[in-house]
Amino acid sequence: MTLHMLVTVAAAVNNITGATAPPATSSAPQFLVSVIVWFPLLGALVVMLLPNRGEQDHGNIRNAALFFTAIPLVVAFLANFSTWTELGVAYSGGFKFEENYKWLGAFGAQYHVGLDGISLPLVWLSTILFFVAVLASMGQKKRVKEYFVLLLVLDVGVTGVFTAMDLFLFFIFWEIELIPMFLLILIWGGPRRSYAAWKFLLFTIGASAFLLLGILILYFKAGGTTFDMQTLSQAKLAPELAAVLFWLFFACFAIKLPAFPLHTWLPDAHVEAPTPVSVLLAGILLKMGGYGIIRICVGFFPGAVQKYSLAILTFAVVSILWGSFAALVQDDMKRLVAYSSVAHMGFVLLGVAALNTIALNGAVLQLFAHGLITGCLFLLVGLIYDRTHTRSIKELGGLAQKTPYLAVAWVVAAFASAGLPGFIGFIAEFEIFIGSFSAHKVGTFLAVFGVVLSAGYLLWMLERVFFGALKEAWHKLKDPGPLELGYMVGMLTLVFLFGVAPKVLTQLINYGLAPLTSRIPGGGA
Amino acid sequence: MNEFLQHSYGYMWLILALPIAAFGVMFGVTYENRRLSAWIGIIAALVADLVSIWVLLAELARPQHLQQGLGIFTDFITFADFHLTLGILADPLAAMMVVVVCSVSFLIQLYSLEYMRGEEGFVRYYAFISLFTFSMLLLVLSPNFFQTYIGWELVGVCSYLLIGHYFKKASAAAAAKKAFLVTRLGDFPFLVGIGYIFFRFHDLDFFSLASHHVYTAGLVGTSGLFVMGMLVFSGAVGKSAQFPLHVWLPDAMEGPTPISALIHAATMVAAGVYLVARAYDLFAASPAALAMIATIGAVTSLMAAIWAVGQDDIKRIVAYSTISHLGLMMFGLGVGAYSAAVFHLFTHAWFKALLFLAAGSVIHAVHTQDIWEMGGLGRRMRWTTIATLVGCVSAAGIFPLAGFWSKDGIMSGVFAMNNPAFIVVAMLITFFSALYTFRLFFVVFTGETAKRRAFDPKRIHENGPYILAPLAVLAVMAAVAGLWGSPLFGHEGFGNFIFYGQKPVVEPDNIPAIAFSLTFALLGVVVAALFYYPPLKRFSAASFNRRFPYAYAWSHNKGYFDEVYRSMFVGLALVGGRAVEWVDKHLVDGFVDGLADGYSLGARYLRRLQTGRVQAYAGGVFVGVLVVAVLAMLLGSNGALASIGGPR
Repeated sequence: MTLHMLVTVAAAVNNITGATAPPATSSAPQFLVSVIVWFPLLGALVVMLLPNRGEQDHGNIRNAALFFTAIPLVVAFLANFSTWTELGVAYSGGFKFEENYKWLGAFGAQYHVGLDGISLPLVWLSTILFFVAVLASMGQKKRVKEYFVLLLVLDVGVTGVFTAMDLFLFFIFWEIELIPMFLLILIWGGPRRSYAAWKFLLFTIGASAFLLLGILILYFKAGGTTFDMQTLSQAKLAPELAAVLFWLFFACFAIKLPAFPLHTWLPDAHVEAPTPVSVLLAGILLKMGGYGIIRICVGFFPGAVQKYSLAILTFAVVSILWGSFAALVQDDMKRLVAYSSVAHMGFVLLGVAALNTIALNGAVLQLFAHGLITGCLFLLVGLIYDRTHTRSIKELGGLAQKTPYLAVAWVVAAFASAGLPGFIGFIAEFEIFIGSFSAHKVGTFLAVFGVVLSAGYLLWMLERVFFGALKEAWHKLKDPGPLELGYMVGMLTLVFLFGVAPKVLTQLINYGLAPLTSRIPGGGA
Repeated sequence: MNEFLQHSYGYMWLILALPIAAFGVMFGVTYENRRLSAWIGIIAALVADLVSIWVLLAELARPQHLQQGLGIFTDFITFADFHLTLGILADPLAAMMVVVVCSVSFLIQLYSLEYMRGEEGFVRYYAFISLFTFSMLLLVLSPNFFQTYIGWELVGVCSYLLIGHYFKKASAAAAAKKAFLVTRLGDFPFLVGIGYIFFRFHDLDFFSLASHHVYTAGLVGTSGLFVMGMLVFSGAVGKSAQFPLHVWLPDAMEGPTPISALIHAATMVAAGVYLVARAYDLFAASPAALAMIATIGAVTSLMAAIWAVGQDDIKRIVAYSTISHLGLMMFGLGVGAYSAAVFHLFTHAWFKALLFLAAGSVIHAVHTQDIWEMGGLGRRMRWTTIATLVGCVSAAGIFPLAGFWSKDGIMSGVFAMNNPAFIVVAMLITFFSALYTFRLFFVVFTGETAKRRAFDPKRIHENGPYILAPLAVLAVMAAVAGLWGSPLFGHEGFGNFIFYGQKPVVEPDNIPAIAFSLTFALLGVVVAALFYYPPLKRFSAASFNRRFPYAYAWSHNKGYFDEVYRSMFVGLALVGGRAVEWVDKHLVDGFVDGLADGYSLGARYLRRLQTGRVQAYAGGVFVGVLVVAVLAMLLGSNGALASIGGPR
C-alpha cells in the first residue's frame, strides 16, 4: 500500500509542479538553441586567442574548453526543466524553441533551428559527451590549443545537425563536422592515423555527395523555393522520385551509421583516434546517421521506407550479425567496441524497418542509449590504455586484482551494452524487438540472436582482461584517479537512471515521432 | 485474525525493498565493515521472510487465484497505446515461492557467516546475495512477461557474479561466462516469444491474458501456439538447465557452495519451472507443447540421473541430481500433474538446499570435493551425517519424507498418461535417483576414512553452529514439508491451494504408481548398498566399470556434451568471426583501399599545387560538389538552371 501511496504522491507532485509552471512558450528564451549550437564556436575563438606557451597556459585552455562545453550542457537541460509542461507532460509534438531568420533569401534558405522530441535527447547526449570528452582530454599534451579548438568546432557541427530545421543549414552543419574530425584523427591519432583519417574522409565525402545530391533534387523537384524541412517533408513527389531520393539519403546516412557493407571505416578510425575523439565518434557522430534516417528517410519518404523495408531489414540483420561476429575475434579492445557499435546501430535500422510507433521509439532511444553506453566503453578502453599502453586483449589479464574500481566500471558498462535490464540499452532493445516482431518475424529472430553474441564477446573480453591470474607485467598497475572515476561514475549513473526511469524519454520521443508516424501509410500501428 | 492477515498485502513491497536496500547499503556505506554488512543482509532476508510467511498465511486463509490477483502496479513505460507495467503479484503460487526464496536466502546467509569467514570479497559476496534475492523476488512476484524477463536477466547476472566469486581462478571465470551465455541462448527465443505474444494479443499481463482466454480464443492457430509455447519454453530450458542447454549447471559449481544451494538448487534454476507453471495457460492450449515439455523433462531427468552415478565430485553429483529433479518437474508439468510438479518444486528446494549445505559442511571440514578422498565421516561429523541422511531419503523419494509426497504425485500423473515409454523412463529415473543419492551417502559417510596425502582424519571435526543451525532447519523441512501434500492435510492440502484451472483437480491416488515408484527407489538404495556400503558390499564398482567401459565412460563424461558443444558452437562462432573479419579486410577494404589509393594520388597531386591537407580536402569537396551539382542540374526540373543562376 505504501508503495502505491508513494506513486500517488509522486504523481500529485508532478501535477502540482506542472500546473504551477508558467506557460512555457511565452517565457522560453528564443535564442536558447543558438546558445547551445554557437557557444562552443565562441569557445573556439576564445581558446584561439589564449596564450599557448607553458603548462599554465595549457591549463587555461583546458578550463576554457570545459567552460564552453559546460554551458551548453546546462542550457540543454534547462530546455527541458524550465519548460516542463512543454516537453514532459503537456508537450504533445512538434518543434519548440524555434528560431527562424532570413538568411540566403535568394535560395529560400533560412536560419531555422528548433528542438522536438527526437532531437532533444540527442542534443542532451551530445552536450553530455562533449563535456565528458573535454574532461577526458585533460591529459592531452600535444598541440593543446589546436586540439581544443577543433573539438569545439566539432561540437558546433554536431549540435547544429540535430537542431537544424532547414535542409540547407542541415547540410552546412553536416559538413562542418567533417574537417575537425578528420584533423583530430590525422594529427592526434595512433601509428596508422594517416590511413584511418583518409579512409574516414573518403567515406564521409562520399556520404556527403549523396546527401547533397539528394537535397538538391528534392529542392528543385519540390519547387525550388524553400529548404524548410517541414515543408519539404510534405512535398508531393512521384513514388519513383521518392524512392530515388530515399536511397540517396539512405546511402549517406548508412555510411555514417555505419551499416554493412559501408562500415569498414569505423574500426580503423576508432583504433587510431585518441580516446576522447573515439568517444565522440561512436557516441555522437554515428548518431547523426541514425538521426538522419529517422528525420529525413522516415520523415520525408515513409512510403519508400515501407516499400523497401525488407531491404532495410536485411541491412539491419546483416549489420547486427556481421558486427557481432567480427567483434568476437578482435584482439584490439577498441576494434571490438567499434564492431559492437556496428551491431548496435543495426538495431536502429531494425527499428526503422519495422516502421511502427514502438519500434521507432526504440530506435531513437537506442541512439541515445548507445551514445552513453559506448561512450563509457571507449572511455574505459582509454583508461586501460593510459595505464598499460596496450589495448591487446592477449597481453592483458587478471587486471581486476590491481584495479578493482576499473573492473567494476567495466563489468557494469559491459552488461549495459549487452542489454541488461536496469540500464537504458535494454529498454531501447526491448522496444525495438517488440515492435519489430509485428513487422518481420524471421528477421527479428535472427536479429535477437545478436544479444547472445553481444553477451559473448563482452563477457569473453572481461574474462580475458580482468579475471584469471594476474600477468607479471601488470603488478604495479593502479586504479584510475578521482577525475576519471568521477566522470565514469557520472556516465554510468545516467545509464542506470534512464534505465530505471525511461518513461520521461520514451514519452518525449513518442511526441516527437507522432508527426512522423501519423504520415506512415497504415498509421504506423 | 483474518483482518490481521489481510494487512500483509500492504507490506508486500517490503519483500522487494529490503534486499535491494541491503545491497545498496552494503556497497555504498558498510563495505569496509564485514560483520555489519553480513548481518544487514541476514536481517533484511529474515524480515522479508517473515512478511512473506505472513502473506502466505493470508493466501492460505483466502486464496486469491490469478483471476483475482492482487497487484500493486506502476507504469514503467507508457506512450501512445503502449504500456509496460511493473507490479507485485500475490497469488498462491507466488506466495509459496516467495517464502522459499526468502527462507533459503536467509539460511544460506547465516551459514555463510562461518563458511565464508575470512574469505576475500566477503562483503561483495553478501551484497550480491542480496541483489540476487531482490532479482529473484522481482521475477517471482511479476504480474507480466515484461517484469518476468527483467528478473530473468537480473538473476542471470547475479548468478554470473557469484559463480565468478573466485575470479582469480581461471576456471571460475570461465564457468561464470559459460553459465550466462548458455542461459542466454535460451533467453533469446524467450524474448522473441514475448514479442510474439505481444504482437498477437497486445498484452503481456498474466492475469488479463488468462482471464480473457486469449490462447484458446482461436486468435492463433495450433502451430502458432506451439511455436509460441516453445519460444517461451526455451527460456525455461536455459534457466532450468534442461537438455540440450544443461551443460552450464555442473560448471556453475565453481561458485561457493552456499551459492550453489541458493541459486543453483533452490531458486534460480527453478525459475524455468516457475515460468512454465506461471504461463501454464499458454502451454495448456497446445497439447503438442505439453508433450514436448514432458519429453524434454523426461530425457533430461533420466540422463542427468545416469550421469550423476558416474561423478566423483560431491558438488557435481548434487548438481546433476538438481538437473534430474528439475527435469522431473518439467515432466510433471508436461503430463498435466500441475499441482504435483509445483509441489515438487517446493519440497525440492528444501532437500536440495539441505544436500548442498551438507556437502558444503563436509567440504569445509575436509577441504576436498572428491568423494573418494572422504569416507567414514559418519563418526566424526555426526550432525552433518544425520542431516545428509534426511536429505538423501527425501531426495530419493522414500516414504514418509518430503520428496516422497511430491514425487508420488508426479508419478501418478505419469501413470495416468498410459504411455508405456513414459512409465519406463519414470521408473528408471526413480531407480537411478536413489542409486546416486545413496552412493554419495555410503561413500562419504560410511566405511573407513580414505588415506591421502597431508590428511589427518583426527583433525576432521564437526562444524560450528552457524553451519549446523541452517542444516537443522532445512532437515526438518526436508522431512516434514511433504506432509502438506499428504492425506494428513486432506482437503486443506497443497493441491487445493495451488492448482491450474478454475478449481482443484481431485486426483485419486494412483496405488500402482506409488507402489512401483517406491519399489524402484528402494531397489536403487539396495543396489547402492551392495556396491558401496561396506557391511553389505557384494559387488565392486571398479570391476563393473571394467566390464562395461562404455557405459561408465558415457556416464562419467556426461554424454560428451561439453566436448561436442565446445567444438560445435564455440568453433562455429570463431570461424564465423574470422570469416567476417577476412571479408572485411580483403574484399570490402580491398575495394575501398583501391579507391583510396586513387584518391590520395589525386590528393597528393593537389597538395603539390597547394600546401597542406585541408586544402586537399577542400579540393576534394569542390570536385565532389561540382560533379554533384552537374548531376543535379541534369536530373532537376527545367527551371533548375535558372534558379541556380540567380535570385528570382
